[in-house]
Amino acid sequence: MIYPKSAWVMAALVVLVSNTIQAQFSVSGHVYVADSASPLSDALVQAWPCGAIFSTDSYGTFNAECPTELDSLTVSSFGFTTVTIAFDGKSVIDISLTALRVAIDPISITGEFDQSEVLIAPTSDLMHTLDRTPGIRSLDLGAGLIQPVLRGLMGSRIAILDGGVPIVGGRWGQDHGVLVDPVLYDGIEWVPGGGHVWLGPNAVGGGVKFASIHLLETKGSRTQYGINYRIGDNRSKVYVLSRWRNKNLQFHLGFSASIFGDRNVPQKTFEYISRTYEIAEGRLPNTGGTAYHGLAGLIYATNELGQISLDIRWSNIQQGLFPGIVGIPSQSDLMGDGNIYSVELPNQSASRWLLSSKWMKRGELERTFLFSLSGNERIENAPPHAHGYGPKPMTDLSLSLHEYHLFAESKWEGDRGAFGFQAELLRGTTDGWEFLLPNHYRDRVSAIADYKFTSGTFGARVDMISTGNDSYSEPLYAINNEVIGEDIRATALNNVTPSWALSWFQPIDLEKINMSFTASTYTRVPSNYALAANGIHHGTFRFEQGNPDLKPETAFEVRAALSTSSEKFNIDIRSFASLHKGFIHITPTASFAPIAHSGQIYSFQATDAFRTGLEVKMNLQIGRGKLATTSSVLGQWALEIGLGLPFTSPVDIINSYAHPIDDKLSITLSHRAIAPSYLVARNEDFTKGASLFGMGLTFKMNKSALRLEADNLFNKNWLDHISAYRTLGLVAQGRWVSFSWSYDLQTFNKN
Amino acid sequence: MITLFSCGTTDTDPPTICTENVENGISTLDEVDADAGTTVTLLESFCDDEGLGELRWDIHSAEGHSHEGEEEEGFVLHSGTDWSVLEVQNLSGTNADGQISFDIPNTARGVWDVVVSFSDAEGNAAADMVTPLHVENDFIPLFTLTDVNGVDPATWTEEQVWSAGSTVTLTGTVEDSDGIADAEVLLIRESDETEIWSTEIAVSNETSIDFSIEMMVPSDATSGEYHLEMEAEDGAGNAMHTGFHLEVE
Repeated sequence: MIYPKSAWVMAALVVLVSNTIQAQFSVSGHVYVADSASPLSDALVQAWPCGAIFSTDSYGTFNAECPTELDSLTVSSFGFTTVTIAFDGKSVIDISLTALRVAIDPISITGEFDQSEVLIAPTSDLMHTLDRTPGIRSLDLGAGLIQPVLRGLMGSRIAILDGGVPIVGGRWGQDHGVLVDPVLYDGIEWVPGGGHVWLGPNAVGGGVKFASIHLLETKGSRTQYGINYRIGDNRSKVYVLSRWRNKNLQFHLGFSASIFGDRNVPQKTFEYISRTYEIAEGRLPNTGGTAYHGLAGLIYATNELGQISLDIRWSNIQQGLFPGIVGIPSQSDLMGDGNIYSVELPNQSASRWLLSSKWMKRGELERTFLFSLSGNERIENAPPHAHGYGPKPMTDLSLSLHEYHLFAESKWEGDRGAFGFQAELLRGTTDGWEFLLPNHYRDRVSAIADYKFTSGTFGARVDMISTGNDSYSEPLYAINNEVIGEDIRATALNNVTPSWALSWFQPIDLEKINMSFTASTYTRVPSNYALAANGIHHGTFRFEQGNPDLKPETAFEVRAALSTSSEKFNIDIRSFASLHKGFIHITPTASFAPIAHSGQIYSFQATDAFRTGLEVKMNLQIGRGKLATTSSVLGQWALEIGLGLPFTSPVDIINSYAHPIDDKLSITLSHRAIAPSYLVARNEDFTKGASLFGMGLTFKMNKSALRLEADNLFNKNWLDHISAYRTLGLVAQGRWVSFSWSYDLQTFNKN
Repeated sequence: MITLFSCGTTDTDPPTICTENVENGISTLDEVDADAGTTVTLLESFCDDEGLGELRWDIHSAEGHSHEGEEEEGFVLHSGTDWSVLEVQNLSGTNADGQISFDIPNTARGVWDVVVSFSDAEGNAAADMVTPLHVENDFIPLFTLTDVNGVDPATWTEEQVWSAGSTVTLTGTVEDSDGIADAEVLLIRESDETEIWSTEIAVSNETSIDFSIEMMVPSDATSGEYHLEMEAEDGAGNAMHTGFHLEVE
């Protein structure tokens, strides 16, 4: 359907004139392509101040609601300008998106296109949400944990922000995910690439931001809830998120709970340390568990005081660990017990709590102060076993990690830029008979500023980072279990190291094409893990050894973004190239671990590296349907040897075709092609490519939506090259079918 | 691209076995047979085009797992499974021999895996080489199970699952050239190492005793993992311990 441009302009004028000033809680309208006046489907419409995200249908129609008075909408779509639109009391609004030329008078534009941040459209599953975003991959660590991989980097090399607060919690490997549930947040964004001054010094691959719950504008309430069941690993999930506002005070409360069974895999045998094991009944035994997430918070806002918010978040996951993860399994360990939900040894318990408070006050300079205290606990229990000589441990506690983290940020923001300070303190303690990392700390203070010049934006950050750890030693045993010496596993370390980041963002507006370039240079101080680890890392199946002599690495990175659109086609391309001096990564050595069942020693080494990548997203309108393609290409090399860096994700292409069956029902067919992993590190196994099919049905009603999604329809047996399970030769999860229902109930005072 | 950015050596070839350099290298043997109480020497020769790194001998009980390419051992009653050997040796040059000598303790019986791992100086690791070591033992008593509930254990392909409250008949022999001084069968709950059932086999220093035991799995036995243990001591005071893993439901 093609809408004449003049009709849209007239409609907009009529709407503007006919509406009087009154509280505005909902708005509907259309999003269309400015040049052609054709409807734009799947555009994301974010309503402010509540932050709720909606999407347009195949007619470009949207219905956005907030439990409080709406003041603006942010509309974005790949290949088009992102705009933020302020309005006064209109109930219908039509918005044109152009190739980043923002001029749709008489509606005023209050926002600014920011090419450094990408809004992620949420789905019922966080892993799916991340995987369908080009440049992001995710590692499935069970239904409770997720590990984003941004441009080939993960763990402590990316930032994950919970309402602006960096999430810590031993994020040093493939197996250490983060505990978040996106249904308890007001949106997800990702920031590609390194050198973003406000993301902190670790965000080499970029950052993922989970937005805090926003303030409702007036009295009222909003409750979102839903249920989900997934055939495959038999996961069930329920969630509810409610907010109530009375005058100046808002309370919000949310909770989600899920239980998941043993992971289903289309595989009958696997190998570990050259041993062959059978898998019974198509499931990885002891990989089920439970996950709980909670949120309680309040926001108090007055003109005099500004806005003060207080949030308490809590997450807990109890999950079995596949017997190969901790120790050498016997075949009997892998036979299962008939109960896919049971959790036996080995198992893990991971929990996180966060107390955060934020104060914001508008003025000549907008003032923001953010303070948080968080705790992360990770406990691994396993059947006691000794490596080599020595007595058998007396407890099941193989490894525990407790980390406490304090973060503060003070920021002054004006029309032309911002400046501020960040500080964080991390204290970590470890325990258990499987030593991996000593007690450690990491403190940071940073001064940050950015300034918008006429031609571009300059950013700078200076940090002072203090890192260190305790010494650690164990008795050294002979074959007769007599102590014959001391096995020194870590020596005390205290470092104070400066680091910095500089960036320049340069937008270039052409007639039909919008482009931008970013150049950044930055340093990164080695992580505690890279400095002091020395033991078996069960999650990666290796003996990993830190290097206390490591120095900060330096990187120079350039990024480019290009987007253009026509009547039926739009494309968005992002690319980067990054040169790293002294890139710290884990590398196999010529030595074997001094303890049994632990294989080769992998040590952290610093070698120069080059990384480059390209991400493409294209949409093609075909009648009422839409063909969408996303693709990511990544290359990472250790320059001194010419081999790939570890865990370089292969080329990945996702094609999907969405077709509306009627106004409420739509179907999506998708195909994901994963190329073979030609770029591998030393001793890293080659991984074959894969071809996976999926489908989805969505039925949208007034306030609710029913969704059916299916992944890996033909139950293909495929290895995920970057998964922790890959090392065991264990394939990714097999076919799953998910049913979900969600409801969004809003009641508010319109007077 | 790899060539473009490569600034140093790119040795990605793992080291290899050079069987022609030694006689009876372990890679040429299908298995190694040895007696408890003896000294065993194993050797092999290794090559690399650039330079060798390290060699590791890892000898551990084969109970509870198998290795790729290994022939199925079937039902084996292991004893002395705690015994293991771990030794790391440096290899230098492009060709080097590795050798290990070890004493097999008098308490060991069953099958052990000899895993040979080796790397080159760049860290390229070859695939592990695994050879079974069959250990015979004339020092400690020998338990043989011929029949469990009417089934020869040698035909078992899966873990045994017994029901709480059921009766299990165990038939077999226990023998020792010094005579059997003591013999006992026990059912142990693995979660807390609690003995939940046991019986002694009547002995009077015979060198071979046939037994048939009716074991009652307690009706209040909680579901989970258990171990059937068989213990004996000969007239010379040599004690042995063996058994197998099972599940009670």
